[in-house]
Amino acid sequence: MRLVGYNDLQGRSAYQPTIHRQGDRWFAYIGHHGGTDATPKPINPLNGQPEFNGTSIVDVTDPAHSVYVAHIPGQEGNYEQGGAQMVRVCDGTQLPHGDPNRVYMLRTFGGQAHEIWDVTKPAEPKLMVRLDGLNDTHKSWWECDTGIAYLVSGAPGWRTRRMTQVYDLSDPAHPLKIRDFGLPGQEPGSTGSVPTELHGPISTGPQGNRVYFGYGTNKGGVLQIVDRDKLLSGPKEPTPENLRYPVVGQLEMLPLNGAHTTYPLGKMPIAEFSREKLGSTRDFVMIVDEEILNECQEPRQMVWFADTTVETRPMIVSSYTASEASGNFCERGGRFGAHSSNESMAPVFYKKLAFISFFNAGVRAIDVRDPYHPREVGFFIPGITEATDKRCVKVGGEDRCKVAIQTNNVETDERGYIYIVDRANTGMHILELTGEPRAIAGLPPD
Amino acid sequence: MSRVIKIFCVAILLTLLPVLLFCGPGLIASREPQEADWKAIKWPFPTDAWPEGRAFHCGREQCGTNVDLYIRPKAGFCDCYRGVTDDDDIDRVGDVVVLGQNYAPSAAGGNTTLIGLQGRARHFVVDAPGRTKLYAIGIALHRRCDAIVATAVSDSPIAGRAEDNVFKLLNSPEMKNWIEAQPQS
Repeated sequence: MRLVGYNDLQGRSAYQPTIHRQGDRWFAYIGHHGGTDATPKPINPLNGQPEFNGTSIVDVTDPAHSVYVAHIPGQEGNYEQGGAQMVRVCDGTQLPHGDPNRVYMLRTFGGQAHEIWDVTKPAEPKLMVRLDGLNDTHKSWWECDTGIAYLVSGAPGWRTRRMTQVYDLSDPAHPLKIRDFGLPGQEPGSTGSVPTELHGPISTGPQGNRVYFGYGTNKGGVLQIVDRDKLLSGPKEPTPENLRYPVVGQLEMLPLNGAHTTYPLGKMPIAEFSREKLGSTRDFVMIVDEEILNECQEPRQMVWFADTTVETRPMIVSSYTASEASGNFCERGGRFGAHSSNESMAPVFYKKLAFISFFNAGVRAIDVRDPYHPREVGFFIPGITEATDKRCVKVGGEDRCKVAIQTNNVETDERGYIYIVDRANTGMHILELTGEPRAIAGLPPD
Repeated sequence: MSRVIKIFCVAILLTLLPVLLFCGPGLIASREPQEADWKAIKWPFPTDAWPEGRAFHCGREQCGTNVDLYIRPKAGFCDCYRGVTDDDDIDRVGDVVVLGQNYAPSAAGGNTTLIGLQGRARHFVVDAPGRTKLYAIGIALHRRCDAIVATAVSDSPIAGRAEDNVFKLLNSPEMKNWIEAQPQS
């Protein structure tokens, strides 16, 4: 993988990047965690003002010369307690009841709200709607072709930190609540132990009619396969029976691992099985865990491939992790392990390559054409900069800190660029493929 | 007659005063909960999602009833914004479930602050077919996005001296040092 361009993102800790084409230009929308103890409000050089971390908007039309066009401040608070981590973008031309002349951005506001912004002019974003009074809002999904949004929230009365609030945002100016959803035992009024909290869903929309929910971050992972039609049109009162009604299948993972991202690969022919009368085409979901502790102080969080051909009995059939020994990553400082994958399903990479952010091991390109045998075919580890923040562990009751790259999230665009962003304030690196992975993607030779 | 009684009482008091002054604090202290009442034991539960913590036992002589106490961190499991603020939070992050799936609160919980961390504690009853009913206190504290959970369990209701001893140990410098040394998210 080769570096094409870089943007420092004003030294802000980065989470979700979303790349969106607007007319003849391309923009990267990047969600941020809160600031640091040392710098709670980094300066926005565009206006000279200190601003709580929120959302960066960067023109990446020319990835070698990206231009930072706007910063939308987020909620007050440092690290996970502030900022605006999540961001999705939809065109009004695609949303059923959107203004065709507008582009809309859905983001979290710290943990307390979801917001919809008009980003038709990315340099002049305007707040339209805020859904407030929530806790721990996080990694939502928005279907641009229908407007249905699966908002990850902590809702009053629910017994879990995060669950799903399904909204119709087909007219972003007028959100319509459809229902609440979660695992039985999380709903208001239930008793006893509470099942693993939601991390985030990915929907295949009306065509695929499935929503894949990932529960757990680094523990007690659950992949839940849900019938989208039944979820949207089924009984909405949050009773255990109604919560089970749309569920097609569920995979309870090893409790040592979570399900941060549940990325559907869909149906894929398996070359090795090509002469079998049955089962030569399989259905897969790639599950990515999130490492949350520094310097390998927990079980390795990695990537799992679930064969979901028989949806009522999903099964893990393979896994991938970056090799610790290849870089002595447990000693480099910060987190080492998986965090998330690209979520774009654009044809350039879909079902061919997946990109996994691996914290201090950078980004990893995985050949997923045969999910029974995933294979690393490329990687890129950015260098640290003066902005890169330290990461500490307790040794003998004292902090021992190291400065390390923390590649946090990754996304791709339809052109074949890969965008990685750093949790430790190092900024955004824009990459392209070279050699074998470039050939796998079918991109012109470099 | 009444004067004689008064003189007698004053005499008794004067006789006992030195004894109370020298021995009183010691007598009172001997009834207070002691960290030393606890003996470290092996973590008794099978492997689950969370790392093993520390386990302790306090016998009938020291605590008035046999009590076991378990404590461990759950890094990244707490609500970063709210911490542990209601009884559902104890159910969500707490560890009473290690004693059995069939448990129910026996009273509303209450806020608590231990080793400088805020949280909540609640009494539970744990039932299982063919087994003696267990009485438990579920305690959940929070440190930013991390939970520190403790569970006290006995075959008798945990109250009075036993309960005081549980909180005394959890609030001790030894526990504070141990918790501070645990991985943080």
